[in-house]
Amino acid sequence: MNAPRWSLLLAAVLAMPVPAPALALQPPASPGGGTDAEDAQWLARERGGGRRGGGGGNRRRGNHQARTGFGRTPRNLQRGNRRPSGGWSNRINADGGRRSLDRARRDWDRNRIADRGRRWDNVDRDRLRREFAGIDRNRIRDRVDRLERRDWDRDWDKVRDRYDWNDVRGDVRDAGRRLERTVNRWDDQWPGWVRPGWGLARPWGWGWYGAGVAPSWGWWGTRSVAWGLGSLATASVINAAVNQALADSRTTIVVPDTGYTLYYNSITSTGTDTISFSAGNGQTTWELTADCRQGWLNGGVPASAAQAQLLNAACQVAYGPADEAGDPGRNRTDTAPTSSSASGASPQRV
Amino acid sequence: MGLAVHAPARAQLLYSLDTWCSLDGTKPVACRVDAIDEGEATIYRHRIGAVERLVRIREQPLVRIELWDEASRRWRTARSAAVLLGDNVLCFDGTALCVVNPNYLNSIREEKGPALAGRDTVQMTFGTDGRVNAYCYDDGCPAPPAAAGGRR
Repeated sequence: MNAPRWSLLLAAVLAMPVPAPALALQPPASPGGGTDAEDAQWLARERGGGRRGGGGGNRRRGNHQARTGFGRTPRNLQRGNRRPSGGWSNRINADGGRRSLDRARRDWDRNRIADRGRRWDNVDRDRLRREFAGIDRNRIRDRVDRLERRDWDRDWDKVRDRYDWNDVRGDVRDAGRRLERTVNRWDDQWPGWVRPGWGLARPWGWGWYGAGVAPSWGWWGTRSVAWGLGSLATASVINAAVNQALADSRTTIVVPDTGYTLYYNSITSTGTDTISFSAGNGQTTWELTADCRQGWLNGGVPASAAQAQLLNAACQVAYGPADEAGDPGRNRTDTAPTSSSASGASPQRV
Repeated sequence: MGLAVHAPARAQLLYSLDTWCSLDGTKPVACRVDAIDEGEATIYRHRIGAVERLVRIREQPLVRIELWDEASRRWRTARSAAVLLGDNVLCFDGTALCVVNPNYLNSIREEKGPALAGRDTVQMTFGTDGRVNAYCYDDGCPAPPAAAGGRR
């Protein structure tokens, strides 16, 4: 592995601990026109948006979304020599003191776990996958072990920004270990069915979605008219997008006519008609559920045309026909649409 | 190390607090904190049994948080500081030293007013020159203190 490639890999790993709390509060692009309230309700299930668990007690809990506060807030802790209005205390209750520290220690541990999740949420998975495609783990390990152990904590943001190996002033060994963990973690992200031929490989009952001439969702008629949405993306369009993503080692497809990306590799059947999956808008990732038979997203009717398109794309990947689903040699016998147009002009059958 | 060596004549004991400390993430133990105003800085002396840990916080010209390094017998800048406001816990260098000190936190709470209202966690990391590298609040903090300040 040459130096520039290694530095890029390292930079990718070092970029991982960067959560984007401000971005996480942003609503997704909603080209279909869902109202703020509707999107807010949907977004309430945003992954990682919740308050992390704490120890209770006298903890102060403000409105998380209102507490961005940067810019107006004095940044530093101060000397603490100004006598508070309640005066100085001279003794801390033993139980209370121990409880506070125990709680603090538990919080650190819990945060470490939560933090790992948050880091992963904010990784550009597509890019990471591309970067790791040709990785030689043994070589990384050898190289990392040879490198001088140096501190990098305080400089990791510089490293992230510069992508310059010469500027890396860090604990390279630890970075390498993180890298390897990341590689392993990444591998875990690919379920077995996500591969060429995925349409047939889905380990659940599929093929029923798209059997009608128009969406059979009860709400479809009036809503689609209101949105001015004549049709949803076809099975062939969705399948072709997944096939291309697989060929490119990408884990996302862009949902047609929306600002959403669908992590197709995250789709899991949770029943005969239901799924869970991840989607994002390039800034934030959400964990979502859907009922493909009822046409529900997170337990309700989609709030916008874009959300309906997202729902349709996920349902197609989960339960749609295998036509063109990475299996060009298959002699199709199911009830998939006959159109193989990639134009998206013909209506999705549900 | 004797504090008298470092304390100038105008040093004033603000308070002594019998409280609880934790060293290096270990279980809490009883400790005593003496807060000494030295004019330009406040020194917090933590006595945990035979162990003594000193923290010096200065405000001018910039805020500096320093720890006494017994080995080199010099003040060195802290790598990180973290506050759990709800628990009145203050930690330095990750969890190398954590202390329950409501006096300190009440003081800065009143001094900073609404800036800390509703906050639960504040973390800061410092460069080797003592200047602030990063600060964060609550869920905006990318790593727990132990990770942020565990090594240098």
